Amino acid sequence: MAIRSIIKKISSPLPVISVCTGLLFTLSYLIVKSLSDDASGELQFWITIIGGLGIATLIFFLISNGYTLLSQYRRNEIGSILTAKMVVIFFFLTVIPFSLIYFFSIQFLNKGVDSWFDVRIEQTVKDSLLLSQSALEGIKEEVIRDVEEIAVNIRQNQNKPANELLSIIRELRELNGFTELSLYTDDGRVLAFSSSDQTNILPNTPGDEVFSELRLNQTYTLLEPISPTIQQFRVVAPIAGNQLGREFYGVQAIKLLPLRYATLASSVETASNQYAQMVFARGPLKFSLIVTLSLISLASLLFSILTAVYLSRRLVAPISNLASGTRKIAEGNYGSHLPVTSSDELGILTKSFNNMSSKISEAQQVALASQTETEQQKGYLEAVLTNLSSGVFTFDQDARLQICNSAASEILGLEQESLLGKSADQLCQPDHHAKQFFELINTGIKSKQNNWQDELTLLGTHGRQMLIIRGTVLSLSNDLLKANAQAVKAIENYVIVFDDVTNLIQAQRDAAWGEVARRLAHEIKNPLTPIQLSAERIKLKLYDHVDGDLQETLDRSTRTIVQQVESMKEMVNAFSSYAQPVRAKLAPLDVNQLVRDVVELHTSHLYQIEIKLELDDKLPEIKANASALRQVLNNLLINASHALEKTDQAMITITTQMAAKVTGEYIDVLVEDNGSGIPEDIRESLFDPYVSSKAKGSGLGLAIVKRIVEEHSGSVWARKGSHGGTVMHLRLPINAMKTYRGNRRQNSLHSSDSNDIDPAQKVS
Amino acid sequence: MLTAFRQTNAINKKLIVLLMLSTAFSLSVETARAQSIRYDSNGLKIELSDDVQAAIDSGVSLTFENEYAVAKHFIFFDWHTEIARHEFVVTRHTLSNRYLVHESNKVEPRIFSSTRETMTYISQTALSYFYKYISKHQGQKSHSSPEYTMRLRLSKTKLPGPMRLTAFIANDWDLDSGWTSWQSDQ
Repeated sequence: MAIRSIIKKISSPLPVISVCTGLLFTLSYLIVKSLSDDASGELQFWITIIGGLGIATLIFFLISNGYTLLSQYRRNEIGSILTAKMVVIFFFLTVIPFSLIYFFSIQFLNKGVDSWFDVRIEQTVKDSLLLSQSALEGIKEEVIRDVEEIAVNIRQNQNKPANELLSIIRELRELNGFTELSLYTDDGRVLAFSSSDQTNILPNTPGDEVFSELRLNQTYTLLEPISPTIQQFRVVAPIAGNQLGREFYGVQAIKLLPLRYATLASSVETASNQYAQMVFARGPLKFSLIVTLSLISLASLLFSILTAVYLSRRLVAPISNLASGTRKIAEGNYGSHLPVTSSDELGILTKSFNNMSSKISEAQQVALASQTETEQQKGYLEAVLTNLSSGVFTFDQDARLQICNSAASEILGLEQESLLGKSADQLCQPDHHAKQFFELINTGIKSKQNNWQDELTLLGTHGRQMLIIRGTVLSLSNDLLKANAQAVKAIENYVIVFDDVTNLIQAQRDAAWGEVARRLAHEIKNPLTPIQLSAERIKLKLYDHVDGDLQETLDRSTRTIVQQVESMKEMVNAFSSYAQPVRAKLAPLDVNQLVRDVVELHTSHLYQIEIKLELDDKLPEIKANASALRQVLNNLLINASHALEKTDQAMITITTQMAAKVTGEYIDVLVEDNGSGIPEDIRESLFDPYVSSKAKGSGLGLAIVKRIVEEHSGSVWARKGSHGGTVMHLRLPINAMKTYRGNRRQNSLHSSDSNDIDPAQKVS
Repeated sequence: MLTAFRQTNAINKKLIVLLMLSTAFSLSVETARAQSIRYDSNGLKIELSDDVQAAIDSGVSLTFENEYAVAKHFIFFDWHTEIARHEFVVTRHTLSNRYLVHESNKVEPRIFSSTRETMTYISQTALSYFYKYISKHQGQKSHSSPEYTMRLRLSKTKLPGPMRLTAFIANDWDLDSGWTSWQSDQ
């Protein structure tokens, strides 16, 4: 990662531009140096190295950027495609004119260099050189002739003494204008010499190759350049020593070329050399220039391409940012702000985008807050609806059911899922027990009344239910209605609220009956005793004073009064018992033992009835008032025996068990007979006071049973037995501290698992 | 008397640079040492390539650089200290058709009729200077037995400007003896 980071940093525009600029200057300097002959070869070498390095660096930058761009393109990053397209366009826009310029530059360079070398100039230079050589040749021949004459002269004076010979040599040198004149033996030993430079004590001795030529009796001549402007002729002529019998062998004369000749010759020499050098260097010069031009072209091309890459990225960057920002907004990431890097149209566009993004973000936040508030309100409403004991329906403008709270489902005994989304008409179509209820609602909705109310008695899964139903049309505010009249139809929603008042009415009825019973007990019971006592006193006082029929009539009448008073006392006591609230003193009770005790009590007078006990040994103790439950069982057993008076093989079955589906909370006590069952006309009011199918019954037995059971937070209901008789079903809580609502739920549970309940019920 | 000699593995610095940068430079650089100046039993021998011969005949002056040094070894590298230099500049005198050798320590040039004689003179002179260099240093450091090295090469950087790039690339212009060591017999 570190290396990649470093590469990324050094591949940024500033280093690349610096390298490119330096490289172009370096290569330009290289061109200048390629054309010069000054002593800067070392520098030129290093410049070439630096140029190569620079180009390699540019290639590296190009590869690095190209690889990065390719990676971005493969990853489908935003902006990479557009950047690649722009780079390709820039590349072709650069390469095509560049190639043309390069091609023509090469052509021009070749032609230009060749034009430097003219045939006429070359011939002129050659002619000048030839002319110079001819001129020098003439001088040389003159010098040779003089030296050979000197050689003859010396041979003629060979017998003279040495000092005279030396004097002759000096005279000859001075006479011919030689710089130096010297005499050598065949082995190169100096015999005599004379120099124009008095300080020069030794002669300028020729090389061995000179003496080799002398042995061949040839004169040696050489034009010697001493300095750029001084040249001299060295001429060595042989002396025929073998004829002279002396050791003389050769004479050397050195003569400086006259200054005028020397200068001209040097000038021609220099010009000729330079031209020859240029001709020779024509090929290398072309090569150098072409290579340098190619390097500069390559560097410029790389620089252009890299600039294209950076320029494309710079141009595309705001667009990429915009695309990225748009994608973020599309993904729901509102409020993203893009950097504004320029003040041009793209900068204005970026600012506008940022402004739009901010506004969208604000709107989204407002919407989110509104949604949250709505959700909270909805949750609150759902919580309220869920905890309402009233059933609530809401219908939309198409009269489709939108909301159905749990109380509604519970009251109707229908699943919410089976109701939601259906129209009021569809809800009326199934043939179920609530059809009448939905028909009433449908009628209310279609009535278009803002508020309506109705009552309905429904025979549902819980038995007979009395429902109070209220309907209301929901409408928007008047302002909104005025603002958009077309929306009126869309806002007609309906709210239906209904309550199951069965238990309330029953409670009111029970209370009323209790009050009646209490008043009866109070108003009737008090005069009964005086009536009875008065009747007995009348009989006591008058019985002995009358006779015959009158006595018999008196006896019968007073007896009737006493019997009826007793009967009324019993009835009043029964009413008193019904009216008296049960003060349940709850204590652990073994229900099985209680059943056995009650049955034992009735065994003697119910000998004609078979009493069968099916008791659950694992039945837990419950908390209950033993005497109250004893009365309940007494009443149920007596009712059952009464129902079996005309039945052969009469049988009563008492069963105790844990309540199904509510195990651990309730026990069931079932008292079943195989009698004739409950008459149809009293089925609905079986547990109401003063309802009985018997002529002598008070009609309070089952009412008292119901009252005691409910005081224990239990419930009681009747259903048709398997043998055609009646089953009285008691459900008692193990911990008798249940509420009314708990009883309802218990009943509901019972209803759900006892769909085959026969509405036939039993008269007490 | 110096007899045995060997060529060391010292590598031209420029060649090292060229080796390192050959890829980047995109030029084909000849890394092998040229053998146009080599040693044999008769001493130092200089053989000019055709290009070089043509160049000198065309008036291009050639500079031969002669370097003397004391070699020191460290791992794979050779260090050269106490370097002494001498230059031979060879030119051709067109009018007399002679080759001139200018030396830095002499006023008048030496004149030769052929390049062979010229190169012979240069090689002999270079060796004679090397003997002097050794004698001088042996006199100064009698207790040690240092390794003396010599190098003779054609300077490409002192060629005329247009020819330098070609000389850098072309093998024909690689006239270089490399650093050569002598061991004293004493």
